[in-house]
Amino acid sequence: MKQILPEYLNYWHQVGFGSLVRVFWYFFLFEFTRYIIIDYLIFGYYLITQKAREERFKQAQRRLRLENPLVSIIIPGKNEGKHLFKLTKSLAEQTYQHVELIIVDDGSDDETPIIGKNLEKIGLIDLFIRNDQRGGKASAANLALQYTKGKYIVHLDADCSFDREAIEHVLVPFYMDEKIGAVGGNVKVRNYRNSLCARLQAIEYLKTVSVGRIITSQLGIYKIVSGAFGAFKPEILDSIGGWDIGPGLDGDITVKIRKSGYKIHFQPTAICLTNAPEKFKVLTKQRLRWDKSIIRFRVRKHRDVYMPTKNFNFLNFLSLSENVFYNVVLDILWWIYIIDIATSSLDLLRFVIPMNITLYFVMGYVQMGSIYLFSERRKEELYLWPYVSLMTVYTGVYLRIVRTAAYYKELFFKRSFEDPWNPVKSSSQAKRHGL
Amino acid sequence: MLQIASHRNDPATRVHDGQLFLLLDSPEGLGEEMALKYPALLVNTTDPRVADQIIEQVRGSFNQEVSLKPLFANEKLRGQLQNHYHLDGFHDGVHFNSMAERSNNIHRQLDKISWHTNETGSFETDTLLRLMRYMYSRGTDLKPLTNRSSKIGYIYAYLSALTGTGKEHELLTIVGKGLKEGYVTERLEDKVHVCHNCHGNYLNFREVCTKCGSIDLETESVIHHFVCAHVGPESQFKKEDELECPKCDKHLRHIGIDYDKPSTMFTCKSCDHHFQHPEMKARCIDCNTESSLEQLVEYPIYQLKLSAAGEKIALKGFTEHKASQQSEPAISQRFFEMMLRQEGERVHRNNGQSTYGRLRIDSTKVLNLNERHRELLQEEITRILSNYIESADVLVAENVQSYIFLLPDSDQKAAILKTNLLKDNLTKLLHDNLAVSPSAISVQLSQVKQGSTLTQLAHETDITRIP
Repeated sequence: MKQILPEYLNYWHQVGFGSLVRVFWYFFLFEFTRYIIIDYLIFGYYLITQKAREERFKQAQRRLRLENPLVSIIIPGKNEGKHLFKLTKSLAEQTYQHVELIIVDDGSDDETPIIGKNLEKIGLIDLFIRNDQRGGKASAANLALQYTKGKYIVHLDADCSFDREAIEHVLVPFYMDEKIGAVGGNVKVRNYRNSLCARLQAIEYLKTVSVGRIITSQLGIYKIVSGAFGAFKPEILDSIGGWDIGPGLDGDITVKIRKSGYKIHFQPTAICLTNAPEKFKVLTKQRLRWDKSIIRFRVRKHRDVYMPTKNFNFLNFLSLSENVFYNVVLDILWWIYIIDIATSSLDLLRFVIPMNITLYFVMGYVQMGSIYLFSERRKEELYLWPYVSLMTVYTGVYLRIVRTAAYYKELFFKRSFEDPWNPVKSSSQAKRHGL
Repeated sequence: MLQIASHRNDPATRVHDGQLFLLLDSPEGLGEEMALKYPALLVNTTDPRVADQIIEQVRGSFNQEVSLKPLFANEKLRGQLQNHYHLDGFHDGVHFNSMAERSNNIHRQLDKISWHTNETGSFETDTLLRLMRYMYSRGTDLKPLTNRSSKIGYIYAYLSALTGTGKEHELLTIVGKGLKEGYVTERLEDKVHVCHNCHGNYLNFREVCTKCGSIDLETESVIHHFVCAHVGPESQFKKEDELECPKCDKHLRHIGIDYDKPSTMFTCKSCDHHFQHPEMKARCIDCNTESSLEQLVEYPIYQLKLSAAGEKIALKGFTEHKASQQSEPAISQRFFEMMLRQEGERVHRNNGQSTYGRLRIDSTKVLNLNERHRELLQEEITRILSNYIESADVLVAENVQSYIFLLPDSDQKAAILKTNLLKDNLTKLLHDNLAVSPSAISVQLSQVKQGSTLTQLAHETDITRIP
């Protein structure tokens, strides 16, 4: 070690910055630029415009409170009965109370129907709809949509809980800009203390959701209103026919709304906590499903976004392109990069690998700095800081392998149509009709 | 040969096989003393209405011995009587042997009972004792019998005669007490649900809107189109005779392949509320009260069997009877009136003097108490009043403000002394605890006469105002 370290430092000192960039072109060109430079630039802009933005938010909030419209909260799901009572309690604490709560039980085979009926009877749920036959999440959400009466629709997952002002804050953006058609809430991981797997996801969510979506929202290319917490205008949902078959229906509906000419807004102060998978096996299944949906929807179904047709919209193009580029294209490029390094610098791997780890390690903490600046739960999230060092392996290796497997399966075999997340009756029909 | 005596004439004295039957032609003037002289009674009319009245009068007699006498009617009345359950049998007018044998058996059992014990107590204890003695003397279990004219849909032989039509639910309370004390054992036969207001079980069950309670509901299937995940009411998909998806315009051909119907929704035509689980409500046909299913009162209906403990009580009576037992809640005003009527008959015949009255507390302080406290206060007042009356006296709490009492063999003077004592003690209780003014308490007394009713009491002077 006494010999290796000076030799390693001496090597990088001698080859200079030019060679460093040549070897780590992938890092400097894509990752450093996108996740460090842009993040901090946006934060700077965010800081400068903070006062004006807060004032605008307050005015919109006043308008919302003045109008106090009925808001329909819809929660489709299967076997979610165990979460329902806690959820109603969480909603009862909300600062915004003019809501109706509609739960759709999508063919649960546990005690959900009994729990739901009882909660409806005692008035904690306004409407509980039981589907004896499972139809999938999209159909359950669409059924709920049929019976909503509110001016806005808030879509939630049953296992989530909310900051007291979450519902109010997710509605405020509709009063800031009429062209906003949907607002995404800020989803954070609740169970991050339970396992390493959950902790790493908590950091990932902070990067990709809490900060990532502030950035994309600021750039006007925000492309996914999370199914766990999002608000919509019902007339827009009606006009686009509601949700289509998933998996990945939340990203799909966001693109559909964008294509209809509406803006999508991310509201970082509308905070929702959810439970992330605590085991890597479960997480792998979840990510395979999510990653397949990028190919299915962003590459295939919405390919028209990339075509210069009369409905071409540059921001929609940029939104999906950025998503596909940073996920699909860079994933392929990464493997090319690995081959490039392995072939051109094989004898130098003893210098390259440590430097690679160092760069990602440093970037992880620099990025965590931006999360710290944006976050409203700074103290609590300090708990996660030691684990940032593991993110290089988590995102750089584990998630990348899962992602590659998902893309491969979906690109060549359309495996998302076989996902048990949807009933076969729906998936087989959707596949047959090329949806 | 069977020997009979008409109760209108001098009683016959001839005996056959130890059995002498008293013929009953009409309900009027059934003298307890005369009835007591005869081991068995025979309804001697072919008019079912009169026969029903006679049966009611005998079985409902204030005197237990009379009430439990073997009672028979002519076979011709079978199927025409409402109260035939309370009979011990029929005779065909020619063959009396089986009737005599039955009567003899009953009488043999009744002879074993110690009637001398003064068992006049609360409605509950008195009725329970009668019930046990009936079961003992008839050597039978008591089976619930379905009956449309009963408010709860069931009656019990003999037991139902004690309260008459419309108050059958009170009997279930008595049965419950018997079970609790272990005097009878039970076998569950049925459960009935009755109106919480009038205890009637003639109920009309309807599905109503969960929001506005309207019965004007419409049901519609929900269709799920597999391809595009559109879900909506069937009417959205209807296009003439075809089904077409409103979202993707595709033709729906085959259930299970193109679409399914995962659920059904109700729509209220009055308020346009949508729901899947309508509320079930029951409207009482008797009193028009609408109840949710939870509000309906559920009564278990048991077949009853006399236990060894019950048999002992049937033979010896409640040896520890106390006036305080009268504080138990099920003593009904109706039963009090029945006793008052019987007492009226008794004093008329014996030229006796009895008094009845009502003690009232007219104070908003009492009225303003919550329901629970009113109940507790009523229990406390009843307990205190019971301590100052004789064991033969009867006390009934009508509600927290009003208490009626019957003082047999007490003339007006003795009654005034007794009620003043009651009033003084009650005044102290109410003044100390609720600061109720003594002037809020009033007592009305009246001498018991033939035909006395509670209504007549209202016209009597408040004795506490008499200097």
